[in-house]
Amino acid sequence: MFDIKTKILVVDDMMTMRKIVIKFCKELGFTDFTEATDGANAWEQVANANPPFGLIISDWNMPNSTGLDLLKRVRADQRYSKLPFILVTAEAEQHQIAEAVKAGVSNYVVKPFTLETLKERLEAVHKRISGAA
Amino acid sequence: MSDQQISVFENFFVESVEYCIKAMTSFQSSTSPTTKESLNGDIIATVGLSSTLCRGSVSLVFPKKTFLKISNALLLENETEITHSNQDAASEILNIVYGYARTGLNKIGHDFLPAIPTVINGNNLSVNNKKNGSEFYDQVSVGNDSFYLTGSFDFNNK
Repeated sequence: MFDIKTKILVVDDMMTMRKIVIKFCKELGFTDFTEATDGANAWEQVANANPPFGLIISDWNMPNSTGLDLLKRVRADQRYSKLPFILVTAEAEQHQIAEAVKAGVSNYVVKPFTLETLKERLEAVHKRISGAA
Repeated sequence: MSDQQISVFENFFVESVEYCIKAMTSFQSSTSPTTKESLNGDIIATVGLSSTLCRGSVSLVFPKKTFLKISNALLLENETEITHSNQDAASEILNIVYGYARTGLNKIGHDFLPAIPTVINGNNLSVNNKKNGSEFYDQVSVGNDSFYLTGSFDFNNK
């Protein structure tokens, strides 16, 4: 599993979903969170973060700049090409999931989701990263 | 034809509401048809929807007591009022309900796109759906409390 000191960026235009994601992450032991309200706001946070984020958990459907826009922007920058990125989505349609995979998403969670689901996804991402290292 | 179509839509949204409330809060809910006149609440989330085959809107209408029961369970809070901090829970609940229903509706041939709900709060609010649209009105019981689900659609092949 990720180190509990991992710096996490939580991106969602809805305060409620940011609270839920942070609540679940706190239950998993994480303590370091930064919040952003859309993809553009999140990108500023990513670009200015020092030390850098160790994980992004982002909603897909947001005004201005979506989670997929953010993912593409992050992956286009060599510095963040391997930054773990989980998309949270209310959409479970195959073509959208395929689009996210093509853009380089590390994993995705379909809303509504439980703590166990998020934990499984985080473990899967960490396992893949550890295996690739 | 539109009666059958609106029933299909209603079923998708009812199933979605019950599933999402259970998944997000662990509350078991049950749904039954109700009348337009019974819809009354203090916070409403509404979303406009359109596909090639139809357009319309879906709303969730929460009396304050029911909303606080659900939002407090969702956020592990103990609020006694609808606040700036908790009111967007109504929007997020509808967002999730719509996302789940949308997946099902698109599997049967619709092409609904993602949409972003709007929240309105006040006292004794009601919903006036579009006249001449095909409508549904449901009461969702969560223990001893209730909220309401309503939708109104115009079908192109009506």
